[in-house]
Amino acid sequence: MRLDDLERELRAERPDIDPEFARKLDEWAEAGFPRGPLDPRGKSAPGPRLPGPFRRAWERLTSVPPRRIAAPVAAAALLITVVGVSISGIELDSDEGDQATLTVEQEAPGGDRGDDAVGGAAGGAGERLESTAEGAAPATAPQQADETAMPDVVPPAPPESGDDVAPNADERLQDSTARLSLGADADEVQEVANEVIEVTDRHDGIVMNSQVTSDQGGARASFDLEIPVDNLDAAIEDLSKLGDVISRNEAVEDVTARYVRAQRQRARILDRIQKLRRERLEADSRQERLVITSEIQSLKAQADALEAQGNQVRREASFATVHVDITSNGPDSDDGWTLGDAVDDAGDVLRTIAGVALVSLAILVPLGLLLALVYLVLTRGRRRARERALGG
Amino acid sequence: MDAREPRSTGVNQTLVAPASQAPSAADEAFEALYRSSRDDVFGYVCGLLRDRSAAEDVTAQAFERAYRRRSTYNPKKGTHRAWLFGIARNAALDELRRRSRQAELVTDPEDVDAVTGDESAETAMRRATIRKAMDRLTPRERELVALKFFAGLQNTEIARVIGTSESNAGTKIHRVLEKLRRACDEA
Repeated sequence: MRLDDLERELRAERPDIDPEFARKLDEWAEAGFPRGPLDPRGKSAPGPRLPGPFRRAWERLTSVPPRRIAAPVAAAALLITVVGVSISGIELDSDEGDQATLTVEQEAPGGDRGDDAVGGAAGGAGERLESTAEGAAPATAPQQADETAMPDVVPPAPPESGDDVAPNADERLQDSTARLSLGADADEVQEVANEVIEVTDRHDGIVMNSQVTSDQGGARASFDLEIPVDNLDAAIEDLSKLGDVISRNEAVEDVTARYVRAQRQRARILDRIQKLRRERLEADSRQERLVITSEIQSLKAQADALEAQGNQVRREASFATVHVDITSNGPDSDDGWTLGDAVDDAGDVLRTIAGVALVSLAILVPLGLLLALVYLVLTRGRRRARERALGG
Repeated sequence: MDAREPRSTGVNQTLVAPASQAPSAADEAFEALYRSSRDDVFGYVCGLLRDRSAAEDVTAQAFERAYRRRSTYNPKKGTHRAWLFGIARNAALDELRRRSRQAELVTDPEDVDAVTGDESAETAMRRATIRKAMDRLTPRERELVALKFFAGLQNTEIARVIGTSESNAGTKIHRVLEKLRRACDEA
């Protein structure tokens, strides 16, 4: 048989459509292929048997290819995740809000300040640069990892010469500050203010500044206190009992580097003074001795200033600065809301949004990849299953 | 006073219909596709399934699916007919899978092999020979015959439907024809 004849015969073999079925199909097509009595398949029509609205929704859903569903589904997932993360974040914030806010910040001595100290020491002894840097570097990591491990932190290495430069440098010098906001009834503010002074005295502290005002808008009081560091926790605890704690912040700044830097500079100056004194003894002329004497006096002044600076640092480290605010307006007062507060709030909102977005992405990206993988596997699996229906 | 001349000439009727009821381009294209492909789709599906009743169901299902997805047709991915036959193929293969799961291939050879009374004996014998040769084809080969000769698709369209290249589709069809010819000659 010729191929032309075979092709003609094959075309003639095409199954003809049944006229009755064709008529029903035409009517169904004319009506837009609705489910129901016009469906020529009758009860054999596949698909779920659902009530009208659900059926239409199902048909609409199944009529859209997965690629087109992906974008709305992704958007919905993003929205749900963002809302979920936001709600969980709000719940977390509200839980924290029930308690006094406690923030402890601590600056690592191995940071910029440590580098400055090293730089100051490097001018006099180049070899000390490496030893100091190596001593300061490991202090950073443990301090960031666990603040409770502070006593174990390795301090910057003292200079090799002049052991008396920083005799207590192995102890951390920390400048502690605390800010406490208390709420009280307007008629109790004065009484609470008096009790603040009593608490300060009881813990060997000093009232540096105090102010109590009362007007029609309410009563307010503010105190700047100096409390010995050893008594700080007890004093804060006692002060917190005097009213409703609105906020409480504590910060700790490590000032060891400042102290060590001042002491090292002072040691270098003292060394220089010693050298100048020897030079003065060996000076040949009176004029030369006068010049050296003048320089010695100038250096002595610098050494005294550095000593004062070191003493100031030590004093800061031994006393904590505590600022206490007492208001009669409570935590919801709008009186203190300023433009700066608005900027702060805006920053908080932006930070929260960025955090929520980051957390949402952290959830959605792996989830999306997983879903895409599942979709790919299912699609390929279905395609292979269909091909297998033809016999492999 | 001179009457103003109408600005449009030759207009004797104006049709006013809500825009929502006017058929979209996709609707019109689908209607044309349906008219031109209804019998071809049935022929292809019936040739593949070899069951008239099932072929009718699958044909209806294919057109319903295609209608609901009519707006997703992308001309860049092939002709409208290739797109339609892709949907029909999936529906037919799903039906084949369903049948294989039921472990029973329900065929109705009498429907397909029906001989009309006005055929001559020679024609009837030739057709019987062709059908016997067709019986020796695998489902995949039978599908190619159905797409080419029952549905009347071009090789490009067949390639798109079965997911291969045009040259590969042409080669496969040629091999099937050679196989059929040998089977007919042996009979």
